Amino acid sequence: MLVLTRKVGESIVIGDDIEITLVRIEADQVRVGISAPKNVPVYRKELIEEVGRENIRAAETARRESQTLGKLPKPEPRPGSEKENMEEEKGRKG
Amino acid sequence: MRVKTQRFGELEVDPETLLLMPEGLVGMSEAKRFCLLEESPDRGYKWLQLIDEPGLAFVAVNPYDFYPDYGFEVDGKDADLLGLERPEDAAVLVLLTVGPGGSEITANLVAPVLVCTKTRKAKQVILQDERYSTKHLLVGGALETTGSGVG
Repeated sequence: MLVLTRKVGESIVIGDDIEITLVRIEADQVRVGISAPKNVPVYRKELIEEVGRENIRAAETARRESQTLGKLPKPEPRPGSEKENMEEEKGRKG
Repeated sequence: MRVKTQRFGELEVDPETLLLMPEGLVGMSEAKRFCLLEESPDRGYKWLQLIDEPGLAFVAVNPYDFYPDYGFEVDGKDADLLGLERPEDAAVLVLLTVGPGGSEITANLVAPVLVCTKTRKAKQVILQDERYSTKHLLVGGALETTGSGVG
């Protein structure tokens, strides 16, 4: 891992189009600004870790559960629901 | 093709219905080849079964059946990865977890599995939307969260 020291207001540039700026320093945390193209996702790391853990829990669920799944509420049938389901792609980013 | 499953025994699966996740699942990058099984048509859920691991499967639902207001934008890079060209070719699954005690069934709405039905490729995407977390209580209709998952 590359470790750099920055003062407030200073930046780090990654690749051609990602910039990280130190915005503010507080007692026990740092405010960081991130400038990146729309198609580069930026996540708090703990979210990615939480998704990984939830996947493991979901796999364990599938291994164990049969009775509880029977209690799964049945979705309400909606007229034309087939077509609605396919319109979740609201837009594509370039 | 024949697929061994822990839950259902050995099954004959139409190779045309297989799903390929080139990047695997989040935290399980080797989990790539799946088949989608329906336990019975009137059940609301499906099984996402890993072909190469009989013991690894997931319970999934179509989120729109339970959360009519659910939605997200598909990133161009993800669409390219999946060969997704038209909205009509997109389908979404969310993975379910049963909480301790077996009382709560929750859906992971922040990390849905986006499927291109034409190419049979899929990816688990992580949404940047503060409304969604890894645990949404599954009740018909309203978008609910237990608040215990990371959003």
